[in-house]
Amino acid sequence: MEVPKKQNRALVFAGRAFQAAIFVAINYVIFFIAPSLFFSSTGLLTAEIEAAISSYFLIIASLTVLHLLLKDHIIGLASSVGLGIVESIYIYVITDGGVLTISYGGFALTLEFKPLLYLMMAIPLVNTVKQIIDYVGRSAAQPVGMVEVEG
Amino acid sequence: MAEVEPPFASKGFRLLSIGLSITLLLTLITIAYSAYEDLAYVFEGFAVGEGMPQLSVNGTHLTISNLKLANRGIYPLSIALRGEVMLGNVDLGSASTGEIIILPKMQKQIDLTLPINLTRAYTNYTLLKMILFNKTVATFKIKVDFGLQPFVAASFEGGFNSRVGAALDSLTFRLRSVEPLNETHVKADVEMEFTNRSPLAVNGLLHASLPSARQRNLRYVAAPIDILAQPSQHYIGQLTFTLPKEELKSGAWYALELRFETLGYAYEWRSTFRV
Repeated sequence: MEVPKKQNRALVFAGRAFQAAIFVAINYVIFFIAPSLFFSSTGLLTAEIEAAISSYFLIIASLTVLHLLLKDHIIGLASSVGLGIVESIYIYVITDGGVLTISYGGFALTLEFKPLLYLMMAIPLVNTVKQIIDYVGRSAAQPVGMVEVEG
Repeated sequence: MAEVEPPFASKGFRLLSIGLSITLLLTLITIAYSAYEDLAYVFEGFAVGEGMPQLSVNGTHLTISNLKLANRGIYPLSIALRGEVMLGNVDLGSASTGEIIILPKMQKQIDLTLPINLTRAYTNYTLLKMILFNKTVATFKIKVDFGLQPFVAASFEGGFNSRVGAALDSLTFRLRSVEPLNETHVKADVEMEFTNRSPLAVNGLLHASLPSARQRNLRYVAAPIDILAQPSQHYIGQLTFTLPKEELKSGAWYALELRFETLGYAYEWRSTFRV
């Protein structure tokens, strides 16, 4: 009975790894390629922004992998919570608090989109709360192991 | 093992998350559509020359007029124009239209008038000299705040420089005529001419005196002339001196001491003419 159980676990982890690869690819497009393209096309890409994009993407990718591989574990939950918070902070930092200034020659264009920024930040945070509720719900539904104590 | 039903709160948060994502997506699409429509209107208008703002300077005011804007988008369009005029480093004036809101499918005409306060330039002696005799650079700064309420606000800031010609360009003095008044004195008419190359009217009182070539501390004073020269006007005026006959010698150069008073401020300089 031990061999099929191990095979099952391997299958589950393979599935999760595949899922993680897909999510990392999606996150790569959203959190790395899109901001890099935007900042380079507007001439706002500096070494600091480039470093910030790379570092935040590495953290987001790592947390995504951990969250998906260790779904049932407390580390998975911690990664999920961390992911939501990091994504929100990343959105805030990369958009400079919802105020972007593009300068060209003697002209400057300042864009302010704070209501949209808060909406963008709210989505990962709401997902984080949902993950916590899910985890707490699952833990509460776990059967309690009864151990008979011999007197 | 039976599947555990997710708690009600979890379902609620999932719905909230989906709702927020849809709202964000729809908002982004509608903002992009509105921005495209509004910008397309502006560029279409500029391409055919309609709605193009006209810039005019009339001496005391700078006016940006006939700027027509229409809101073809979904969201109310807010716009505020602010202008500033500087001459050298001196701020001559600024004005703002305040926030103008154009509702969807509406059109508005925007005018902005900037009062030009030359007192600030005249109190600066170096700048006054530049305005009168040299070409200066006037800087016009424009700030446009616009937004698609309530989501996006943008601010565009730019400026351009414009060369301003000298107010007393090519100022020259020449002896026009000498007529005997009596046995001892003559009447000398000194003609002055200049062209006002600045966009501002030259308005002031010119005092002229001629130091004696023969006697120290003696000056002959001409009656002051009231100068009023509109932009681009070629001005010719005359200073009349009453001099002793022996004061003027043919072929000699004479120095004129001049004082130009305008709006309570004065600039003094010397100029020469030949007999």
